[in-house]
Amino acid sequence: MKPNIAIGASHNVVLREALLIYDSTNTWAAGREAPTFVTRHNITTDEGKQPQLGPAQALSREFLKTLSGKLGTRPTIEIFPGNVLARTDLLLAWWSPAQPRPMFFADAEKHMTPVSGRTFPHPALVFVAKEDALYVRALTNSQRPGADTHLYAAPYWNMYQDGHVCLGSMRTPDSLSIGAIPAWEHGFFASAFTHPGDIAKLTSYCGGFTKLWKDLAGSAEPFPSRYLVDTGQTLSKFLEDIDS
Amino acid sequence: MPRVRKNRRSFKTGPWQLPDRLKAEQACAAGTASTPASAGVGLLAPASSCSLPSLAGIPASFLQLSGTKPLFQLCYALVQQNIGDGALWNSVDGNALSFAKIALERWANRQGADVVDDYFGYAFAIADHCDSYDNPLAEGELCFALEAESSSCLQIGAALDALEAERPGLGAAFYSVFLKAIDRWIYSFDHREALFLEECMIEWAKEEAEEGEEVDLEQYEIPNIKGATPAYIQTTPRKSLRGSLSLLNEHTTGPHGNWITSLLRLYKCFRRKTHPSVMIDLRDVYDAGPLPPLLIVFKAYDVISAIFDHEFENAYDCSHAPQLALKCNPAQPGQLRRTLKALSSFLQFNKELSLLLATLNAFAEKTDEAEYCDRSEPQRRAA
Repeated sequence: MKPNIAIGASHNVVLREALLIYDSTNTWAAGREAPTFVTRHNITTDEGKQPQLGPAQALSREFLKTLSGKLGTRPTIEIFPGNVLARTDLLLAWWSPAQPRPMFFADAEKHMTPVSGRTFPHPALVFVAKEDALYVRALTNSQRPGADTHLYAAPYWNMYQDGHVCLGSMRTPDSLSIGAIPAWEHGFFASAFTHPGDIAKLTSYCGGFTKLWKDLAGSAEPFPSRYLVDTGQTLSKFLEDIDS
Repeated sequence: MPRVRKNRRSFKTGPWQLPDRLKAEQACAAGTASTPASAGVGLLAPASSCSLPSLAGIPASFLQLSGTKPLFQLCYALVQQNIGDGALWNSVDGNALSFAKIALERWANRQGADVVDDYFGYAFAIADHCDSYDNPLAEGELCFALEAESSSCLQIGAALDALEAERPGLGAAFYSVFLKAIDRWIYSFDHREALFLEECMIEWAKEEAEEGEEVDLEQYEIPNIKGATPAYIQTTPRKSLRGSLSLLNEHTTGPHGNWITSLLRLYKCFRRKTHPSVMIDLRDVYDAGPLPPLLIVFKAYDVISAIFDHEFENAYDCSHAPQLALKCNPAQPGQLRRTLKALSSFLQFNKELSLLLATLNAFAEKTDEAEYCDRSEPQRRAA
């Protein structure tokens, strides 16, 4: 009795084409663009012999589109909801209105343990997911930001100066699709905040970060936006910095 | 210049070198695609810098695997269970799929699968998904399934008649214990199922009749299952299982003692338990239940076989649950052992059933009316 085993998938991929990239090694005069070109070659593979490059062919847009599609970089059609701010094949930016959310803390000193798991009012936030990284900034007004809207430091631990979140063991979605937005937000708030990042000042609240969130625990009032710290960044600058 | 010579060799054009007098010309040509000023020289020694690079040493193909972690976990668990070993792994050049296939095939044959293959058409599949609407498997779990691809036919009437002749009630007891034993492991199509379908046909005929109109069943081609069922099975008071077993045990040394001994061995498999952790709940997963691996008729081409053919004429129009489906997470300690234990019980039951089927069919063939009935063809019949 021969078993038929179907576990996972196996694909036999065969060398079909090659791209040769030529770049100039010469120093060219200022203002003159150094020539760079790409040639495309079919591969001939006679049975049992080494593969060989065929003659060069011009690289067409059609070929590049096909290659891009096969590499999975071609985005699928998605309808943008109102909270999406920007989208490229590698980056997704959206905003989230001010709202109460639970928050968890697991600091070594256990300063925040008494309020861990409580619900807190949060400011409006701008999220940017890029590949497997997450960036967060805060907004003073709970309304959709424009390109020139000023952004403020997100008043959370595990944040870097540039808004980059230290993910640690946070569960992040595998995709940058519109449908993954709730999962990104859930991952951010469902994982415990453990320690300050490299942001010197998270809030201007008297008593600092710990006092702010302890005072806000269980509060039904909106987040006091006046205690947010201005980053000097606009939304467009923030996105440009991340994209660069 | 050494780079030029190297490139030429890679195309196997021979380890020749440029004549010294041409080297200066070649140096001028290097780095450009144009023909040197001296056209004759250029033709004699084409500019090597424009030669296409060699792909020597570059693999022409790859086998790309994805989602195969459970396969390797299965291989590891097979080694832990002493079902596969290093020698087999080396003999298949580390191909996990081949390793698992061969190891499990050898194991299954040790449980009697090679005998079962001669009589039943089971397809043995191990997959990380079920071929159904919903996948009832959790991540990392595998499904071990045996699906009946055809139905074997057992002509039991002649044997039952002989047992009844030996002692009234013995044939009925044999049939009763036999059905009890096989119901534990497989779905068989027999006179009970045929009776149910007959009742369905009668109900359908009654619904066809106009309201208040007396239905004339003779207008319909409704099979007469009772007429095809031996009278002693219909009239003999149903004994308790214990009473039937007792009667059978009294006749193990009789003229048909080998049949009874074989049945009692089959019945022993009835008691084997399957660990609940390896069971898969397949309710609502497939369109229909499993296809029967066994058709039990009293005589060749009797009305039971006719109704079976009618019922399963379009059997492959929908999905059917496998006859046996077990789950296994090979990464969990003890899971593979429990799954294989249940599978072993099933195979050993089918092995005993195969041997009994061969014996009883051989007896039926010897009788005047019997004809061998092979139902391994498409539409589950070859009659």
